[in-house]
Order: sequence, then structure tokens, then C-alpha cells
Amino acid sequence: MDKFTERVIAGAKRLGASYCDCRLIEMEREDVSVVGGAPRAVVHAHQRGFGVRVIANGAWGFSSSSIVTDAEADHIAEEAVGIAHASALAKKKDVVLAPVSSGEDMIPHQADVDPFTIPDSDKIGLLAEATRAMMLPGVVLARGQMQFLKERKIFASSEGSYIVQDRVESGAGISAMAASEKGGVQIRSYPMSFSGDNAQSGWEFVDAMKLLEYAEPTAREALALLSAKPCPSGFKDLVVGGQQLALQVHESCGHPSELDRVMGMEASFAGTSFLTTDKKGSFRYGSDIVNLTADATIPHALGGLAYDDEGVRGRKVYLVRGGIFEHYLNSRASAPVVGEEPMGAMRADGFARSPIVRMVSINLEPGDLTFEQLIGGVEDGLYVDGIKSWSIDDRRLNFQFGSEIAWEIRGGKLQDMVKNPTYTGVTYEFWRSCDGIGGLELYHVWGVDNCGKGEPMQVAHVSHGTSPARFRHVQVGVLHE
Amino acid sequence: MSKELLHGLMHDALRASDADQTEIVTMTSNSALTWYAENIIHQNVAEHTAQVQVRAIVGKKVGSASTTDCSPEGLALVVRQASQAARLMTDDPDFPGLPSPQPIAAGSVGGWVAATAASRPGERVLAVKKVIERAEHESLRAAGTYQVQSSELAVVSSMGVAAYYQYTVAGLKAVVMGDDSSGYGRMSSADVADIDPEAVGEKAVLTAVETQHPIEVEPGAFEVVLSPFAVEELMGMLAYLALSARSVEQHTCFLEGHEGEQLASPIVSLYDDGLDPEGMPIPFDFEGMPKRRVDFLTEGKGGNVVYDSYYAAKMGHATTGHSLQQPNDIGPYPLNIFMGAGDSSEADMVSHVERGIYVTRFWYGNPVEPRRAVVTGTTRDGTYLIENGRKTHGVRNLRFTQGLVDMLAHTVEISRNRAVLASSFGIGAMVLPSIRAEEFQFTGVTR
Repeated sequence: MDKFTERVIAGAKRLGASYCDCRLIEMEREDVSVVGGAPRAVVHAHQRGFGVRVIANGAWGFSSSSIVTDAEADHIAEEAVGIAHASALAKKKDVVLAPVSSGEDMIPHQADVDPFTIPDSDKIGLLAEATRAMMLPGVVLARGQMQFLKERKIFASSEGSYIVQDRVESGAGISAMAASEKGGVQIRSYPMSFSGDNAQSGWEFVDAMKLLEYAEPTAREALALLSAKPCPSGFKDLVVGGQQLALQVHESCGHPSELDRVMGMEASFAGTSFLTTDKKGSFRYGSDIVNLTADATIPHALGGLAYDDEGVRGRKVYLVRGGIFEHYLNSRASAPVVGEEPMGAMRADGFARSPIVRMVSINLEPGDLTFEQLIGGVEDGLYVDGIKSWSIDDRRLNFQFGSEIAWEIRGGKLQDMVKNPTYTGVTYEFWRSCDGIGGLELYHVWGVDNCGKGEPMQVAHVSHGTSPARFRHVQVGVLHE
Repeated sequence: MSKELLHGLMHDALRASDADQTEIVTMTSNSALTWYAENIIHQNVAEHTAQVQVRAIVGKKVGSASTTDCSPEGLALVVRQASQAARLMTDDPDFPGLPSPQPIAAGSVGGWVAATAASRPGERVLAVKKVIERAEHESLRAAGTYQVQSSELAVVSSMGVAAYYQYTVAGLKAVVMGDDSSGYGRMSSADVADIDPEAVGEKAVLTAVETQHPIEVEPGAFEVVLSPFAVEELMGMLAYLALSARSVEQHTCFLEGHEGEQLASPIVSLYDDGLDPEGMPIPFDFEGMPKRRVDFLTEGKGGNVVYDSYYAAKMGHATTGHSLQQPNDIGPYPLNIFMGAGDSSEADMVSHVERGIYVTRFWYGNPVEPRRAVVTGTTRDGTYLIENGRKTHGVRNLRFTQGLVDMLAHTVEISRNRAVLASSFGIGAMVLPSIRAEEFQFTGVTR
């Protein structure tokens, strides 16, 4: 154990804490954005600080600071214990943590090429070339961005854990916005909308995206969407592309499986969950072919981790197996309540925030169909992909999602392009209607770096492995006029 | 820290910069939050953080860097990094240079209350216990947060800008749940003494009780009465989509090309005013430019949008003092939105509805068609059926898909009372009334 975390933990114990953990984090981040061939911003960000979580008098306390000195270590430990004592004024019962093994470990990052060794001029140059290639007549905005993160996190606990984890993340994406004289606006993105795709990898991940190769086709799709057919309204069979399905998994499986949410801890912000504890082990969440996992062990996945922020080793569990809801994302305090073992899903956004139950990599296990077989099984339907808009109710049941692009399917063949596709449904009815999932050759783990939860708001980096999948009798083209 | 200490550190770093122009923005925050659910406190946290953002300009090249290290060495490093980043950029021909200082009305804007900054965790716990005990009395379950925050915002630049503002925020929120219903209460103020936990708890409990055993209503077009919380969610979406110069640039602004035209109901006035003490004022923006009132809609007629110095120069306007931290992907942003008060009350509005829906809150709004500000989301925490001028039943939550400008055009009644609703950004607040609107589109129902 290093002297700083040792001082924090000793100080908290001296003041009466029965448990203490300290996370000391140093993080570098770089964001590069380019618009229309010209660099818009290159931002280097540095964060260093520590967070102290304690149990005293049977209640939680937490404090954090961006000043890393011995004096601040003493102050923050004292404040955390003081807050725990205040919390105890309203406790109903003592916090109990599930036992976990403790020890020392050192986890290296998974990058081959440290992205911080790549000159900024190379990053700008690649995005500039890609966005210039997208600036076809009718394209009003061509954006490109990259983001890189390098972090060393030390977790030390009064139970004897001392874990050093290094992490490197890389991500990139491009998008083209096309506008028509009639006022229509359409966006198409590659490889994914918003911040693109992200992974626990180095520069090699960005290199493999082949941004230049995909730039012009992406822009051409945005232009083509301007004159595409409007989305039909009614009930259709739906083939959902892997990227869009990542959003579906995130919103309708990942979030409702968070045990803190199920236990009401998120009720005042993001809401609760329909996956109440009485449903564990018996509720039919999806059709027989639906298998959803929480797997922190997938190499390079953005949501992967060796240990969570409670020092629990990450592992794989089935949230849904054979269509039946089976397991939650949990914490040391919540897992015993439902008879589970902690599975390594407690994560905090940086040093300043206390860990809460978060997704790791939440994945739809691949099936055995080819893309042609998925489409071939649809007489009258839509193929949708490209995340554009999302909304789901506070129990994670009624959802409405919009995609960047769709194509009609008639007689088992892809037909005309469709713009502004939307679809809506109820989570378990939607997943119960799933009758086909693409195979491993269509499978990809998407890295999502903008998952918000908690108060104060915390942003987590998660991921979702998906293949395209087919759903029957889904309401599409939601009317609003 | 203090104005003198913070400005001293920042000016020292400014002098060491080798860039043509340099700007340093520092935001310090001491915040604490008590988070409760299921009638217990499950998290009680504090954080002491600083965020320093530097812009360095070399010719027409702009570089940025940030750090949490406020020490002289940390500031010197981040200034160097910003300068290095600037030299990598190509010229931005639209960049007008950092803005020159302008007079700021800081003395007349009071948003800092010592009692809020000094409040203790035990005080928050006792306040939360009052909400919990009220909920327990009705066999209901309470969840929510009680947050206090004391922050400093300081901006200095080599152009001579030297702005400093210290403010506090206190906010209590309650969601009270029964087996098949829930209610909501919330209060925010710069002064912790204004927070009334009994009132917050009572409102949430009453709604949860009244909406028990909800019935299902077929979606369709309804007349609605929206509480200030519901209006807040929609105005937040409108601000994001359509009230800034960036939205004009991206052609998602409904005001573009329609200045002076009747776009909304004549009873609707919508504006941003960072100096109005009725809200949570901020005298200047993240470039140290003074806040100016911007009228988006005046008696329903189209007005202006907000600008920062970049968009102001690019589009031939003066900055309105609405820059966020630079650089950002949002553009200028209104942090102090007001809707003009009407002459009615919520009770009056409900009494004027033959058959409609009362909405306490909306949730998870997201754009469907940005150009027409069409958004979707769901109701939550207290949705009622109104029949013959009375709230008669709780109803299952509904999904809406609605054009926001259309809603403002169909607004027929506005309350005289307005709620101050602190922003989730930790700075600024909306001041909003309840409204009654016709032809609101509900497109789905939850289970």
C-alpha cells in the first residue's frame, strides 16, 4: 500500500470507521474535433484526486478532493466519517457488505499503441481528410471527432485490497448533416452516432475504422435520405441493426437490471425498474433465443474491467438466459438482499463521485442467422439502424426510438430507403417477439461513452455486444400530427 | 478560495503564457448531497473540486486545455498545454479573438448566502427525515436528494477581463411512491433557509395518494394542464434545440427568419434573464461577458436567440453573454429561462378543462424532428385525468410526441405563480409557470 492511501484509511479507522476504501486516480483525456476539414478543438484535460468511502456507525459517508496532500487526506477522511455519522441519524439498519476476497494486484492496459504518442497533427489530419471527403454538395456540416483516455486508478481498502489498474481508451467517429432547400435535415454517422465507437484499445482501434474509406459513402447516405420515403405507420416486422440494437440492450435490459434501481435508489432521478425482485428466476423477459449477459471480461470492451470500484473482480453473468430473467447488476451491499454474489458492477465517474451500480459490457449473445436469412424471413417490414433518438419511461417499459436510416423489406428483400424511422413498444413484448439473431460473423461490441446515471450525475463508459436481430409485429412510424 | 487568491493565481499563470491571447476560466465547487430512497439515506457525499479551462490563441488558432490542479505549477502547465494545442490548429477565420472586457453588474446580483455554504450534513439529514416521516405516515416510500453547493466562477484574460462571482444553491427533491402511484415535490433557492421540507414532502405525498389505482386512458389529442416541472422538461428541450445561434446555424431554430411573426399564443412570452433576482442570477458568462436579457418570444411573436462572442462575430450580432465553457459542442446556451407570468392559477386551469390530462412531470424527452422541435417522452410522478373541471383519477403514464412550438401556439392559460427550478448544470435556473394547452399529442401508454 502507498503512504497516501494508507494515511487515509488509517485516519478513517482512527475516527471510528468500520470500513474505508480510497480511490486515488490520475487521468489524462484528449478530445479532437474537426468540422468541414478544419480543426475545431484539441482539448487536453488532466484530473487528479481521491475519493474516500467509509462506513461508520453502520452508515455510509463519502467525500472527495482534487487536492492530493497529507493535510487534505486527513480532512477528507474526517469529513467522510462525519457524514457517515450524520447519515446514521436516519438509518433503519446497518449497512452490511458481502464478503469478497482481498489482495494486491496490478492490471495493465490493453492498448498496443498508446494514442497519446500519436502526434495531434496526425489525428487532426485524418479527421480533416475524412470530413473534407464528406463535404459533397448538399452536405452542410461534416464533423469528425476522436477521444482518448489514459487512467491509473489505485483502489485501497481497510480489508487489505490494494489494486492498481491502468486503462487506455480510444474512440472516433464521423457524421454528415445534409439539408434540402425544402428544409429537410438528415444525419448519417460512421461507425456509430454521437462520439462514434470506443474501446479499451490504442491507436490501432482508430486505424482499423478506415474513416477515409467510409467518409464519402456516409455522406451519400445522408444526401439520399433527404429524398427518401417517409416512414410508414403501423405494425411491421423489424430487423434491427447491431448499432441500434446496442441502444435497445442498453435502455431496455442494462438499466432495468441495475439492482440499486430495482431497490428504488434511483427513483428520484431516472426512476425504478419493472424487473422487480419477485421476477428473478421466473419472468419471461424475451423469447427462448434471447440470452443477455453482463460480461466485464470481454477483451478490449469499453465496459470491461478487471476490478470494480469496490475491489470486486469482474466476471460474466447471464442477466437473461433462454428468455428468462436470471440475474442483476449488483453491489456488495445489494447483492446479498437478492441472494446473489457481487459481480463487479460498482463504478464511479472519476475520483469525485461515489460508486453506484453501473453496466459493464451488456451483450445479446449471437444467434446463427446470416443477414440474408434475417431479411429473407420478413414479408413486409423495415430494417433500421443508426442511433438517432431515444426515450423510455421511468420503469424501462414503454420505449420509443428513432434511427438514422431504414429500408423497406418486401418479400424477403431490402427495397427503398426510408427516412425518419421510429418504432415503439413495451420492453418484454418486444423481446418476446424476437425470432432471429445474427451469427458471430455479424457480432460487434459497441463502446458507448455517455451513459448517465445518479445524482450528482455520473457518466460511465459501457459497451454492448450485438448482432442484428429480427422482431415481429412492432409499431413503427409513430404519428405526432 | 477567494476572489483575491483565485484571481492572483490566474493572473500569474496568464503572465507566463506565450500565446497572443489567453483566457483562464476557473470553477470551484464545494458541494454535498444527501440521497435517500425507500425511506432511508443510502448515500451522503461531499466533493471539493476545481476545474480550470484555458483558451490560448496564436494568430487565428485556438487551443484549449483543462485541469483540476489549481496550484501555481498546475496552472502554468495547463496554460502551456493550451498554447501548444493552439499551434497545432489551422486558422479559424471566423474566430474574432477573445472578447474585450465589458462592465458587469456583479454588485447588484446577490446569489451567495453564507448559511447555505456553511450548512452541515446533519441539517440535511434532519430535513430529509421530515419528508420520510410524512411518507411513512401514509405508508408510502420516499426517495430524493437534498443538495447544497457553494461555487466560485472566475474568468481572467489577457484582454483585461477579470470577472468573479460566488453563488450558492440549495435544492430538495422528493419522489414519493405507493404501490401503483407516485408524486413529486421540489424546491430550490440560493438560501437554504427557503427550503421547506414539509411543503416538498406534502406535495409529493398528496399527489401519490390522489393518483393511486390509476386507470388507463387511450392515447390521443388532449387538453393538458402542465405543472412548472413539466414545463421545465419541455423548455429544457427547446433551449437545447432551438434558442441559440448554433441552432440557427444548424437550421433547427424555429425563430430563424421569423422575427416579429406570431409564432406562439399571444399570452406566451419566453426570455432569458441572467440578472433577474427572481431566478438564480449569474452576472456574466464563461467568457466574462455581461448577461443581457434575450427575448425569444414576446407575446407570441418571434424574437432573438442567445450568442457567445464566437457566434456573435460570425453572425453579425453582439454577444448576449451566453457562452458556456469553451470549447463545447452545445454552443451558446440560455441558463436563466423565464416564461412570463399569466393571470391564472393551476386550480383555475383545471376548472376550465372539460376532459383533459394534468401532468406533474415529463421524463426522458428527446428530439424526434429537431427542425420542428418535435420531441417525445413520457409522463411520470402524478398524471391525472381531468373531467368536468376536476382531477378525477390517476392515469397510467402516457407517451407524448409533440411539437413544442405547436404547444406554445395552443397555450390558452398561464399561471401567475412561477416556480424557481435550479438547473442540473449546477448554475442558473428556470422560472416557470403552469400552463394550459390544447391539442397535446399523447401517442402511447405505459404498462
